[in-house]
Amino acid sequence: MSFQAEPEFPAARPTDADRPRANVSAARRRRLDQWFGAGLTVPALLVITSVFAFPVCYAVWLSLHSNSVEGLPTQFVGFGNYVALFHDGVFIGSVGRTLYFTVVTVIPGIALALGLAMLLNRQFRGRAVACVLMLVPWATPEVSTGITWHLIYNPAYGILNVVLLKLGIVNHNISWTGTQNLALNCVAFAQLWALIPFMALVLLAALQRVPLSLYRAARVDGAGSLSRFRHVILPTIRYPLVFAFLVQTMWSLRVFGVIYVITSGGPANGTTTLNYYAFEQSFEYLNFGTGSSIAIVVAVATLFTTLGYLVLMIQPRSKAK
Amino acid sequence: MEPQTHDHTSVEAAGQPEVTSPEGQLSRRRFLGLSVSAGAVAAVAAGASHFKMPSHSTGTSTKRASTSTKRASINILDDNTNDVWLNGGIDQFEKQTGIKVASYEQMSFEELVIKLPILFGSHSSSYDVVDTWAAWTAAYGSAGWLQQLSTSDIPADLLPGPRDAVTWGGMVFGVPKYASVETMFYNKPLFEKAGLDPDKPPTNWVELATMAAAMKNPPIYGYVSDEGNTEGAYQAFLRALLCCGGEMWDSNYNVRFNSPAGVNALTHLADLFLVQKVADPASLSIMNSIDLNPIFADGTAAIMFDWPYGYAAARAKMSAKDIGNAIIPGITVRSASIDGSAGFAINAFSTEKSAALEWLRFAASPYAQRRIVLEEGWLPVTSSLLHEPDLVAALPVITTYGEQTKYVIKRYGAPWYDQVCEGYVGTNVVKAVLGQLSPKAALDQAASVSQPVIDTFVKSMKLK
Repeated sequence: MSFQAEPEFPAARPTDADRPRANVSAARRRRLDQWFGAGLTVPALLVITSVFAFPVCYAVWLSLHSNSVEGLPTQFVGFGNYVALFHDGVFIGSVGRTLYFTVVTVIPGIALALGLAMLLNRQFRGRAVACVLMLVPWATPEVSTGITWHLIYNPAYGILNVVLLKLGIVNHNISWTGTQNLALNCVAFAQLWALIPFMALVLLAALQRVPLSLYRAARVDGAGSLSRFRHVILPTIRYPLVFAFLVQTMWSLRVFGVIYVITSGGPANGTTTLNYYAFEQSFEYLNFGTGSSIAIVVAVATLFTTLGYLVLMIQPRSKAK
Repeated sequence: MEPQTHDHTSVEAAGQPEVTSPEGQLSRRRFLGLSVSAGAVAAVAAGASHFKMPSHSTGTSTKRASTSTKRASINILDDNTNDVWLNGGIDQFEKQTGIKVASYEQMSFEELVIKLPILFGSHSSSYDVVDTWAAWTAAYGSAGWLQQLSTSDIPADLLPGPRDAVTWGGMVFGVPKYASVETMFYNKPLFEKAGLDPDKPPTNWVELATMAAAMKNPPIYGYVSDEGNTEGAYQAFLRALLCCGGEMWDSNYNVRFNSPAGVNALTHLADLFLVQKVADPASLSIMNSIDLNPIFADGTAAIMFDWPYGYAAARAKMSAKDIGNAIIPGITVRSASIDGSAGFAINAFSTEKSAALEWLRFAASPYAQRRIVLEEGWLPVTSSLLHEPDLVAALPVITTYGEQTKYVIKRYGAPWYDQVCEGYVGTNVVKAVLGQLSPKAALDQAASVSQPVIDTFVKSMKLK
């Protein structure tokens, strides 16, 4: 208000009437502006369409076609590839393995990450360094993580066997990836190693948002450690915790790199998860139709899982209303 | 109400140009107008320069001459097995042919598994020459992705294994670059230590099991193999199958690997792990034959069946006199082995096929072959080099190779190789070796899913 009252300042923007081309109506200019704005979004839309929408649509198209001899899908089969999946023993097995892999990486993973975050939430010397070092496994490329663990698990010269032999815990080399169940757990452990640190940092950031006053008040009111964790910490970090669950679940459902490097899906399909099976069908057997249908199944499963978590996040707010 | 006047003052104070005056304001329309104008000027300028080009040259005749003398160039996509190409091989090729190798790219086998279908599927001409072996030759050749060659394009004295690696259905799709056949390597000091004669290696599977048992003293095992992935498991089975006189499928593409010979072969293979227990359990974790070599060289495994470079790898830690090498012991036949030769093929979408063919010829030339044998320990692809004294002296495996070629050597490369041989057969072989399925059940299970796949290919390709 006071600016407008000041006579020495010129008008901030000239009005349409001040402009030389006053014959251009304001409505037309607005329309032009809108077109101009829309035009500026075209490059971004093109990029998004080409890198996201097109591959998704193409994958759906591939999944509805069967392969010619050349490995290139040409014949429309509708949902034939999807129906065939449910008669495929390897696919059924890979569904089970994917679910198992997800459970053993998500639940212990988040629990360990939360424990680590609570540890790092305390003040101690070297805490900053510990936080930075923690990021190393997460920042390591997936293939490097796979190679590292492949070497660790190597039955002949892997460090794991060497240490266990030196400590006298075992008296012969163990073939860590030689049997299906052990191999799947070994791969899951490698995945945990890589992903826990990031989750711990996410949860650490959430823990640091817990008001100290609330925590102290609970203590004054006689709440024990468990009670403080349940009634003070957990409600405060609820949403970051759900986010951590969501991200970890998505990563586990889509796992590929560590399996590819450590076990190549073996032994006897013992570590063949859905994503790995999609790769195997597409690039090793050149069954792009089948491979794409598996990829779509993974995508839909991930989508529904995400929606489930989102419902979990939104529900309390809806109830509060 | 509106703070613009304040902003205006501060901008002026900072010495910035007047942005609020109608003349100086860079509005969106103005920006667009300027962009369009600049674009138009650039287009006109580019067009003008294009039309001016002939005036800077000496005319059409010069242009034609320049085209005709343009140096052909090729791009090569290889696996990471051989270093000789980068270590002077490419230079020699360029000097010899005048063709430029614009790029030579190496990738691991696993990377090529992904890269090649994408490359071919998109009809890309990015690479003129690509790596190939028996399975890829069959799969990509039958798909029309590899350029078919005439028999005159390959050396006349090609050995059967390398020839098999670049042919499918009687058609030639490449030229081999090295030969690779599995033979038996054994640790002579371990033989001596167990009271065995180091100059009398096993000649059949019974002797193999007996001698391996005599040398077993964990962590030392009598036998080790790479069955950690389905490909390795298939190779181990095929080797045993051929040693039993069996076959994967007959000439009409009917599955035969679950015949009595196949069951016998898998029984012998599984018994090494489950009954005689002479095989290193680590075998089921070892995914690559390269990982066999340190185990053998360290003396923790007495016998292994390996590719020729196993000798060079063992020499890194063992003296030549300690490395025993012999043909693969048979089960019901004297011997048999599997082939792992590789070669180069021409991308069917290449625009430099003639130049690419020159590279293929160069790879099989005596110059390249001698270097591959002497510097890398691989076998030559032509019979004419098998008896050259300096090569035999440098790589004693050549002598064994010569003997091994008297017996059956196959790989059964086919368009369905990955799905049937590696996928179904390999997976079920591992189940049998782990004791989860009997050999017969494992092979019958593999056969039941393999035959429909083969039939689909056979029908589509009109192979019958």
